[in-house]
Amino acid sequence: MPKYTIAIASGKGGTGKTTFAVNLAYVTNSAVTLMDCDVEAPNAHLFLNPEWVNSEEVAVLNPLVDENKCNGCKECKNHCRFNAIAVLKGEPLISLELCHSCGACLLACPEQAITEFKRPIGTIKEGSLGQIKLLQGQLNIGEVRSSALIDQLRTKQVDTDLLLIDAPPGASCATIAAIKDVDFLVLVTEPTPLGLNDLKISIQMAKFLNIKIGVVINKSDVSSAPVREYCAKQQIPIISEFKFDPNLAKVYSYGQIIAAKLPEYYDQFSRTLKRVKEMIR
Amino acid sequence: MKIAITSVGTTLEDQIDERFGRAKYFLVLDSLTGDVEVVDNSGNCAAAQGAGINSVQIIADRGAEYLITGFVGPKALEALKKAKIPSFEGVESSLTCWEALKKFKSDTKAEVPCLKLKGSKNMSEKSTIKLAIPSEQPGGLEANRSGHFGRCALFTLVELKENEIVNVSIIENPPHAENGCLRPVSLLAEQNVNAILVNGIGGRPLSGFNSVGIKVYLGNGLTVKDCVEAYLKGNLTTMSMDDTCRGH
Repeated sequence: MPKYTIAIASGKGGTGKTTFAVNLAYVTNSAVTLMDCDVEAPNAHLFLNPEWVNSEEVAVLNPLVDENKCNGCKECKNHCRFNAIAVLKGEPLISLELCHSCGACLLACPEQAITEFKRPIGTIKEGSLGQIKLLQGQLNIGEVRSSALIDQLRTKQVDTDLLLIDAPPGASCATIAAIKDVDFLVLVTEPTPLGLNDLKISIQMAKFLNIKIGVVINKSDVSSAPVREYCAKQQIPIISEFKFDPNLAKVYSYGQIIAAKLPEYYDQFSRTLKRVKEMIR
Repeated sequence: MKIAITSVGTTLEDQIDERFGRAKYFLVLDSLTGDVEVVDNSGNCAAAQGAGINSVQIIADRGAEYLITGFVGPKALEALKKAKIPSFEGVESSLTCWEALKKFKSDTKAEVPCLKLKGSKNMSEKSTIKLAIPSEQPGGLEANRSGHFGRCALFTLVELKENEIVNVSIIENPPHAENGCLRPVSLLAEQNVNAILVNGIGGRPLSGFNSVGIKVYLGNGLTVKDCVEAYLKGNLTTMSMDDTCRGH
């Protein structure tokens, strides 16, 4: 069990979640686990170039109907709260996309005509670079059950003191699966109207989940004032501001770790991590 | 044949709802009787997911054999296939359900048996018109028309296309049993009759004809031919409940 679990999220995409998470991992300077929960487009590994040590397939359970036993009674349909089943011309039609693997239809079927089968939805890979251990979820192309994959990723055993979670963008089920039960949520934003708008949504989500939060303004410049004002009004701490800096963008564009190349940023990431840890305590 | 139409309202005069799964209402029209079953779909409108599949279940449970709507999503489409309900898509929301039905009929050339609609605006306005005239033996254009609708020996059926007689046929009228006033109604409805020319009719059969969309015209005339000519000249009046004979 990690001592600190910190998730990094943002409503808007492209604000710098992964960059921030990777750099935080880099400045930890002791054993740390980075969990890439952006399973539709995981890319933390692009900065880390880890050595992959393990890979496992992840599957979900879906119902399978024995047509010889099914009498078309619709009990399975009546018990499915996800509208995944229709009984048409006396035969059940099950949408695997809509099924949430709850198993209610199995229990409801009076004929015991339903069993479950395993359907692969993605992969969990494990890699490492120095003291950084990377756990990455990768959803199969065309698959919709991202939350199911994230849920399974979150159950992986973590043996480091610090766990950093790189969450998927947005404020939907997948993001919630990635950030639930964390000790602290860092919301990365940028000083644009879109950034602020989506930040507000993320803050609502975090409040709903009752998670401690702090904001990081990335690419900060003269237009950061509205974000600062909003956070002050909401009494949400701004943990750090990373100024708009072409040097930073350049290092990033080569897929390199900023804290490794630019010492002044090493210090800033270090201070930010220290501050978050203090806020957890 | 039952046809499901997605609508924003509860009558066929209302606009089409372009959405299928999240349509406000389904109107399930029975083309034989003209009856419309209104299904409130607000439950699916608010569903987090699976509205399409559930909507297919709803219309399938009500016996729909055809769907008229704007757009069907991939999951609903799969379910429609399973339910063997073909869909007529791409109807714009500017059309009323009536107009969509007409478009459906003309675009698909679908064989919709006896598409008669209550209070209509008959679907077959532009094609042939089929008149029924209660007649005496032996029937046909030259036969005398019968003054008594329910107890007439037979009906002469005259098909008109662009005001020309294109076909004449004769059907027997079954014996008038107790409370049997409605039997000729179903008989003529099955023959796709659009209008009946009488010089007297009871209240019950009149409302019966009204309900299946067969117009009832009132007028005098000795022979069947006289009646048809009067109809073509527009000399007949449509009948209201005030004009009915008593005791029927």
